[in-house]
Formats: sequence, C-alpha cells, structure tokens
Amino acid sequence: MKKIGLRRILLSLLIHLLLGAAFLLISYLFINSAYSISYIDGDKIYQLQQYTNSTESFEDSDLYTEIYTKQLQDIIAYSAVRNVIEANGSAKHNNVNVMEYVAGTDFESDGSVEVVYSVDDLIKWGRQGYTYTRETYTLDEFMQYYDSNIPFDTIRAGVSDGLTYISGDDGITEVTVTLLNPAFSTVDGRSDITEFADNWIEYFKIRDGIIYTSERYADYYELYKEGQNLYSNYPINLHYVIRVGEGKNTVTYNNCDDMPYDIVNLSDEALNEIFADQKNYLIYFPNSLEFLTFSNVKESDLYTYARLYSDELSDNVRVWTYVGDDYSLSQDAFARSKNIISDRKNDVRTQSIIIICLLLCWIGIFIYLLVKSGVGSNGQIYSLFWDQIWIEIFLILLILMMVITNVLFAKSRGVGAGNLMIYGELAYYSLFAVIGIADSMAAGMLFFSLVRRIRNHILDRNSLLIGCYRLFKRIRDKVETSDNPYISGLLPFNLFIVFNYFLIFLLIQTFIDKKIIAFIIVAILLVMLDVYSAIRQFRRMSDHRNLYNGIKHISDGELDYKVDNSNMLEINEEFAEAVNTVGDSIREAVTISMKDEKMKSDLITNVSHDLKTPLTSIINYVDLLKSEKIEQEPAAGYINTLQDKSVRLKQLLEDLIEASRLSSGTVEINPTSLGLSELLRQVVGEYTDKLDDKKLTVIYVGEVKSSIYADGRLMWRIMDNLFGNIIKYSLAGTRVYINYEEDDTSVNVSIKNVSAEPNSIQGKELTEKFIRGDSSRSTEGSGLGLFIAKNLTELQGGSFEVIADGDLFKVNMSFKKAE
Amino acid sequence: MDTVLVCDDDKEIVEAIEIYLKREGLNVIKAYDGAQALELLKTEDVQLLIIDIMMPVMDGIETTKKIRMSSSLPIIFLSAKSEDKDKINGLNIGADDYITKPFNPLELIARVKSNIRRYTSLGSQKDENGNIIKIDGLVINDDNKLVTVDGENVRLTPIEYSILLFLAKNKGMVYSSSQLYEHIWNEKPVDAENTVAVHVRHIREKIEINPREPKYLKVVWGVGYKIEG
Repeated sequence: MKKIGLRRILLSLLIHLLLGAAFLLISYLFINSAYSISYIDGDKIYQLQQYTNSTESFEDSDLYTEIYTKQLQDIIAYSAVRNVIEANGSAKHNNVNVMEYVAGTDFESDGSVEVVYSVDDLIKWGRQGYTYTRETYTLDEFMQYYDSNIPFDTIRAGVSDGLTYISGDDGITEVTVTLLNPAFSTVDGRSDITEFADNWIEYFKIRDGIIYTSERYADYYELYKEGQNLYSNYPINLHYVIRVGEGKNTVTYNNCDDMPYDIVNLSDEALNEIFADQKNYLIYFPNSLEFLTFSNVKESDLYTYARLYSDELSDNVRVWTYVGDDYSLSQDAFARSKNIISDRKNDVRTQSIIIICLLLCWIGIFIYLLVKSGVGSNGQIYSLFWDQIWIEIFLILLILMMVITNVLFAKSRGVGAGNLMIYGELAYYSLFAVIGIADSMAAGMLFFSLVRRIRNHILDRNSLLIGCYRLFKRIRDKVETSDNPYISGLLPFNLFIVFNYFLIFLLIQTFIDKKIIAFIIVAILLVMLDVYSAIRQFRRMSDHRNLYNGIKHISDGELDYKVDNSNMLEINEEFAEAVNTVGDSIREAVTISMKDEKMKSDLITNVSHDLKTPLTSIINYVDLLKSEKIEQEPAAGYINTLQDKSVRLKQLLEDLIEASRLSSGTVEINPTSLGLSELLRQVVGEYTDKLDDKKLTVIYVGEVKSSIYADGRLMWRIMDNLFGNIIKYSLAGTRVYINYEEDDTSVNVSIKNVSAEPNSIQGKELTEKFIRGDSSRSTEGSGLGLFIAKNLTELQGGSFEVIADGDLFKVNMSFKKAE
Repeated sequence: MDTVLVCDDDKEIVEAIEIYLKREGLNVIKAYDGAQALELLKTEDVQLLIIDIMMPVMDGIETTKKIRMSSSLPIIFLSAKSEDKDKINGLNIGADDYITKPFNPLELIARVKSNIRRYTSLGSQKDENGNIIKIDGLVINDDNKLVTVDGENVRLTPIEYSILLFLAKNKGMVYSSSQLYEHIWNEKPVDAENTVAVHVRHIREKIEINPREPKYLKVVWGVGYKIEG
C-alpha cells in the first residue's frame, strides 16, 4: 500500500464520505419537503420540489388547481350522499322501496312490488352483513310453496344463485334454497321476505335487491362520515353552495355560515351575483352546461363526478364555490400548501445546490482515482489481491446496491416528515449515509479493479464468464480433436440436435403458455445456437477448401506453397501446420535426391574422364604396336584382341557418361517440327553399308504425312542406338521392318528385326540400365543403348516400348505430332 | 618442315602423338603444361599446336586465350571432355579444332594435316573466276569438276559431285531427300528410299575427316541436308 501514496488513500476515503453526505442530504430533502392532504378517497402526498421552482403565483400553480379540483369533487360526492341519507322532511328519502331502488340497475324489476325499509335499517343491515338459512324441500313441497304454475326448469333458469337440487333415477328428488334471514322489518312491520313474493323467481329478485340496496347504503354512510369529517366539522377556505331540485323540493348544502347572507333562501340569480364577485370563484350547472370560473379547474374533471352521482343528486344540480384569498384558516389544505411552499422554497434550493456540488466532487475524484488506478506513485503498475476475484461478483454487488438504494429512495418519498418519528429521525438519515458510502465503495471496487485489471492485462483472467467460455473452448477442442470419431464427430452433432429439439420444444411450450419473455429468450437462444453452428460449419468447410487447395498445390509440385492458417479453427490449424510441413519435407527430400543424383552423375562423368586418359595411351600404343607389322602368331592375334577391347572400352565409357547425364536430367532439348520418314531414310542411309554387310533388308510399311515435334539430334541418337543394336544382334540375311502409323495426336513407328540368338530377357528389362538381351553375350555393346534410347524418347514426350517375343525383337515408339 | 607443338601433362600420350606425326614427316616439339608451351612458342617457329585442356600450372583454355591475343596459330584441343557444350566452348575461345580422347590416330593426323595446310596456304591461294566455290577448306572447281579439301584432291562420282555442287551453290539451305532427288535426277521420286541418303553418306566419307561429325555437309535430322554457309 505504500506505493499508492497518502494523498490517494485519503482521497479514496473522502470520496465515500462525499457520497454518504450527498445521500444523507437527498433523503433529508425528500422527507422534509413532502406533506399530505386528506381527501375522501384517502391521503395524497405532495413533493415540494415540483412546486418550488416556479415563479408563478400560488393561485396559478398546478398544486392550487389540483387541490381545488379534488375538493370540489369531494364536495359533489359528499353532497350526493347527504342528499340520500339526511332526513330532510321528505318521506321519499327517509324510506326506500328496495325494488324501486334497484330498478334501472342490473336487476330486472319494474318496482311494482313494495318492499320498503327505513334508510337507517338499510345502513345498519349493510354494515352488519347478512345471514342465511338453507331450506331443503322435496320437489313437490318446493313447487307447492307458492301457488304458481311456473315449471321447475323455468325457475331454475331464472335463478342465478341460491338454488341447488339433487336428481335421482326418477327425476329431481330434493331442492335446497338459500333464504336470507330478515334482520329488520319493513316500515309496515313485515319481516318474512318470502311473503313479498308471488313465486320463487320473485323471491330471489327481492332477496338480491335487499342485499344490493343495503350494501350501497352502507357505502353511502361511509362516504358521508368521511365527508362530514373533512368538510363539515371544520371551516375551510373553500366556500361552496350546492343546490339540488327545484321549487319546494329545493335542497341547499353550503358551508357559508361566515357569509352575511341567508344562503338557503337566496335565489339562484342572487347566488350567481354574490359568487361572481369573489376572486377565485367557480359556478357550475352540469344540466344546463353552464361553467364559469376564475380558476384553472377543468369542467371535464367535475362533469364525470356529477355524472357518477347523478342518481343520488337527482335533477338539476347547481354548484357555486370560491376560495378566499386571505387563507385565514391555517389548517386548511390551501393554507398549509401556501405556507410550506414559502417556508421551504429557499431551503430546497440551497440543499439542492449542495447536493449537486457533492455529487460533482464525487464524480471528479472518482474519475481522478479511476485514471490513477493501478499506477503506483513511482509509476509502477500494481494489482491488488481482489483483482484475482471474479469481476462479476463486484458487478453483482454494485447492481444489488443500486437496487437497494432505489427501493429506499422510493419508500422515503412517501414518508413525510411527520411519520419519521416511528423510525427515529437520526437512524433514518444515517441509513442513507451508510447506503451512500456502500454505493461509492461498490462502484469504486468494480471500476478501479477494472482499470487495474486492464493495466495489468489480467482482464480476461479472473472473470467467471470468460472462465466459462475458456472451459467450454477447452472441452470443445478436446472433443473435436479426439482420435475417437464417435467423440469428435458424432458427439457434437448429437448434442446440437438434442439441444435444438429441446429448445424448439420449449419454444412451442412457451408459445402455447403465452409466456412472452420466456418465448423471446428461448427464441434468442435457439437462433444463437443455430447461427453459432452455422458459422462453425461454414468456417470448417472453408478451412477444408483451403487445406484441399494447399494439398493440391503441393501435389502439383508447388512445394513452397503455404496454407494460411491464421484465421482457421483450432482443429484445422494443426492440420494446416501438418500440410505445410509435408510441403517442406518433400522439398527437402527432392532437393537431397536431386543433389544425390547430380553427385552420382558427376562422379561417373569425372571417373569416366579420368579413365579416358590412360585408355587413350592404351589405344594409341596398341595401334603403334600393330603398325610394327608383327605377323608372328599368336602375338598378332593378341594385338587384335587388345585393339577390339580397347575400342569397346571407349564405347562403354561414352555410353556410361551419356546414361548418367540422362539420369541427372542435364540434357538440353531443342524440339522443332521434323519428318519421321525423312529421318528414318537418313538413318538407314547412314547404315546402308553395315546393313549390306549383314545382308539385312529394310522394308517400309505404311506411311506418315504429319510432322513430329522433336529434337533432331536426339532423334538421331535414338535411331543410332537402335540401328547399332540391329547391326549387332540381327540374324544375317533377314529383313528389318519399319511400320508407320499415326493417330490424332501422335505418330507411331515400330522397328522389328529377328535376333540371331534367342531373347532370354523380358522386353521391359532390356531398357533398364546395364542389362542386355543376353548377359552372357560377349559381343560389343554396353547394354546401355536401349536405356539411353528410351530415356531420350520420353524426354521429348514420346513413349518407348521394347517387345522381345521369341526371336522377334520389336521396338514401338510414339512421338508427339507437331501443331 | 612444319613444326607441331604437342602439349599434354600425360607424357605417354605426347610421345605417341610424336611418333604418329614424325611418321608423317612433321617436326615435333613437346611441352607438359601451358606455361612451357608459351615459352617454347616464343623461341620456336611452330605451325600447329595440339593442347590438352586439363593440365597443371596453366590449362589449355588459359594458354589459348594468351596465344590468341597475338597469333592466329592453328590450335587443336585434345580433351577427355566429349560433351557438346565443351566442344562449343573450346571453339568459341579460339581453338580451330577439337579432338576427344581417346582419339583415332588417323583422325588426329588428318586434322593436323588439314589445319597446317590451311594455315600455310592461307592467302597464297589464287582467287580464280566465278566457277570456283570455296567453303572454308572445301573448294569446288566447276570448270574442271575438281573438288579439293584443304588442297587434297577428292574423287567423287558424277551424282555425288552434282549433289555437292547443288548444296554448295545453295549454301545454308536445307533440302530433303526427295527435293534433292528431284533436282539431281530431274524426275519425281517414285520410291527414293535411301538413294539420296546413301550418296550423301558417301560424299561425307570422302570430304569429311570424321563423317559422323561432318564439317561441311551436315545432316539436319528429320529435315534434310545442307552445306553450312
């Protein structure tokens, strides 16, 4: 740690404290700038930040309009239930005919049956709940309960709830009905509900009607109580007059006791004048679509409420309201809002600025530390022990911290300053400070470690994901390079198939179950698997193509061709390496073999040249000896033998040199267009004397018109060798046949003669080096003649074949036709 | 008497050559390497040099190059190297002839004599009228139908003479057997067979020192015959 330096250690401590302080302030701001206002449908929380920035007056603000609208809606609802519940001298509102009440709702009732309860009884009944009695009758008893002709099936179809029956072998045996126990009597003193009905269908209608009506009246009562609590028990800044009905049925609700008028007895027109004089007034007659206001309240927000309670309010509702602008009643929603805004406005601004400053400082120091992360004060790059831990853990830690933070802030929004006492204010703020420090530490751990890992080039080492990927790759490569084809070939294919079918199955399943997110995830997985397989298959085929091309190039003789394996799959890289090595090995072998052949050829040539010098003296001195005219036998015979053998030796040496030159491939070829028949005429011309000496006759068969493409000098050497053999080995007095033939691409010639001695060796072997027709024969010739002729023919792209069949000796040659 | 300088590091070969040449009435002086040969040439009047290529101290090639700087003395290479490229290389350096070991004594003598004749009679021959065709050492006098090679008379049959004259008149042109037949016999070759080839062979045997390696009448294998211009 010494290498980091004191300043950075202090800074990394400070940074966490900074975020902790910022979070503390934010939570303070949230909690202390929230307050709630109660409405009939519950409390609503308001955050001051939304309203502190505007410069408009309170009366123009959205908050003012919202409170105004919500209170008006409440008052409309409150007036409606008052209209239903409060006894106002009208019998109609004191007692309720249940069947009349439910008429026009979901119930089928024409209101002709009179089932009248007092409002009080209905409210009590609705609030206390209902009890039932289950009565079981035989079918006959059930049908005879009422003197009615309605068949059972019709009853059963007309009753939705409360009727069950058991059917035996011979029809229905038992019928059970659920009867409502009467908790209260009607105003005319009757309690048995079955008495009101003329038949079972009617009974159930009445039963359900009573339940529905009493439940509704219980609801009205709840609303009435809440409205009374909010709008009647305390004076509020919103003054209202709501008038329902006309003439002597007119009912007026108001809270304008502080106004110097007899509101109840004033005419509508007078009220119009009085209210229109007020500053923030609102006059609304929903039935005649009259809407006058000096506020931002919207008619549509009120109209829906007026419609909702139209039954309860009866016809022709008129609403007059205004909000006093002195806000004299300080506990009222308007007054509280106005006061809190003006009190907190400056505090919120100051605190916001401090929070922003703290956050900016935090970001600045964070970036500084990020840049310096992993570099010691002496410029050395270092890493810490937790850089060895999977980076995903830090990532999950940070995400977790962010989720916790988010939840806490969301919860704190609704708390409101007054409720904090439950937690203890200090503990609550401390919690945020701790969360801030923890967030800062989590972010630091992740990002500083990330930078250190990059600096130390170990980013890819300590990561769960990359580790998994490496493991996958290792297994994959092991499988693919396995010597066992079941593992390397069949296993991946089968795995692919199994996974594919499994995913397709899941896809169908999630589709049927309509699990959209699961469906999308499975679809993505499936596409990924298939695309991955497709890419690998494509790369494998393209690699194979390249490898094939490489092998083809090498087999075509381009031995220094190299397969580029830089973009290949791992399994094929080795393959490519091997192919490249094959090329190198072959080239090496060929080079060595060529060198060997050349050395051998050079050796033969050099030895032959060295042999020639003493041979020259032998030939010369034998010749000189002969010219001494020694006639004494056997000396003269010896001299002749010496001369013959020395000449033979000379021929042998020359053939040997030529043969070795042919094998080492140093013979030059200058092919031209030439006539084969002209050539053979010339050759036969050269050999005329020798042929005549052995009484050999040359017979030409067929003719050739096309020219061949060959080197004339080499052709002469071929024919010279062949005719040399003919002279040496032919039986005297026989015929030599020269046959011509030609096809589309080549000209063929075959030369046949009859051997003096039977051929003891296969034709093919005759053309091998140093093998002659009869190895025991001691006539002249080195045995290299046919070998040389064959090689010279093939060198020019022709073919050469020797057939020895009994005494017949035949050479078939084929040469390329000239263009 | 003409003097021949024989230079070879193999003493027996030099001595054998000496015997052959002395029989022909030539004076022979001997050297055993190129440097000795150059020394002797300074003091002796030599008409021909026979020199081996591979020798110690100074080889035949080097020696020939030095001689050719100041002299047109006929030089015959005597070498164990029998390949075409060796022969061509030797002739390009400035040798007049090339004999491969082991050599035929008769051929050696013929070539020596031919080269001396040409060297000594150079410029002395009278430039006669247009009926004389001269190709190197080959002279055809159409007036008296006489053919000489390096001054030696050659006896040719009338057909052989006609063929030689025709080819000599059309120096450098190649004629096939049938073309020659048409020109010489003045009739279509019904079955020329090897008639022309046999005649050409005979001509070569008479005018060439080594008929297998002709100097004047060359065989263009598979095409025909020609006299090089």
